[in-house]
Amino acid sequence: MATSTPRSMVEVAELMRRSLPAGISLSQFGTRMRWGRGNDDARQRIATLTREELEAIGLTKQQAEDWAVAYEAVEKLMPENPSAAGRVELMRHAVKLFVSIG
Amino acid sequence: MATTVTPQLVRLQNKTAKLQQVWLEPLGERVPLQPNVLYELSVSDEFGNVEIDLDDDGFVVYGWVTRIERVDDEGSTCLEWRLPVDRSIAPSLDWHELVSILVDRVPVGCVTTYAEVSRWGYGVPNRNQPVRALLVRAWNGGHRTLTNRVVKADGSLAALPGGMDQQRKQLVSEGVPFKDSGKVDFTRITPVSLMN
Repeated sequence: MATSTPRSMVEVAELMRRSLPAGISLSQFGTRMRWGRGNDDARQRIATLTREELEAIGLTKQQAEDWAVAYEAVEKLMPENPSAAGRVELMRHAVKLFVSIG
Repeated sequence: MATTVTPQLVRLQNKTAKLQQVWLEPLGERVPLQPNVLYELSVSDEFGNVEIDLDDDGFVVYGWVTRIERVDDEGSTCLEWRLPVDRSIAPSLDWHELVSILVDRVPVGCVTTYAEVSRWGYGVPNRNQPVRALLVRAWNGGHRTLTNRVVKADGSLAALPGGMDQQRKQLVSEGVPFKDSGKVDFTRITPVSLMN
């Protein structure tokens, strides 16, 4: 189901919070996604991210989509944010990994 | 190893010049730090406890930081912090729509303002951040000549990604009058309304 785009940073926070995998803290999620610092790090991570890693983190396809939607909203609300665009691409790639496994 | 602290107020002191930043997650934002200065971070409880880590470049804060203040002998000063906590964006507004109306209403030799774009897009004059987001997108979409014709309400240039020099150069070449202060002279030119 498509997630509606957050219209404020408060809604971004809410979407990110409920899109964390069960039992995973924010720092654990960031560390295990290894999306790094800034757009370039996130884009480089696309080449190494695997289905097995996503499964190990406990991320679902819907959660990956929601993180992509959340960072798309960050891009709009904070146009100078140095990481959001790359993380949108990374999370969209994560969704594709789920799609490719059926 | 991250340290977990109770949310709401986090104090960080940069005791070495080696630490140059605080990196904020989950937003992926970088805030530069001055050495030997105490900083206070206000954190809301969206993600529960705040976790703080340290790496070669500085601190990493995992939490929803809403405000950062620099604390020194003269009191505290809020750093320039762009988190638009209480602002929303209009869901239907698209930068292509902005480009269309700029093409229609703001020809060579004319300018409009952030406030006018905000009134047109959001019905109020002060949605500077979403207006800037729209302008940056239109700029990145290749419509630089048009976005250069949007300035601030006091005539200041808008500091889009290409910088103010190229904006001023274009506007001067189009005949837009400037004051010695570097602002567009609104005593000699009236900003175009996008609402009529």
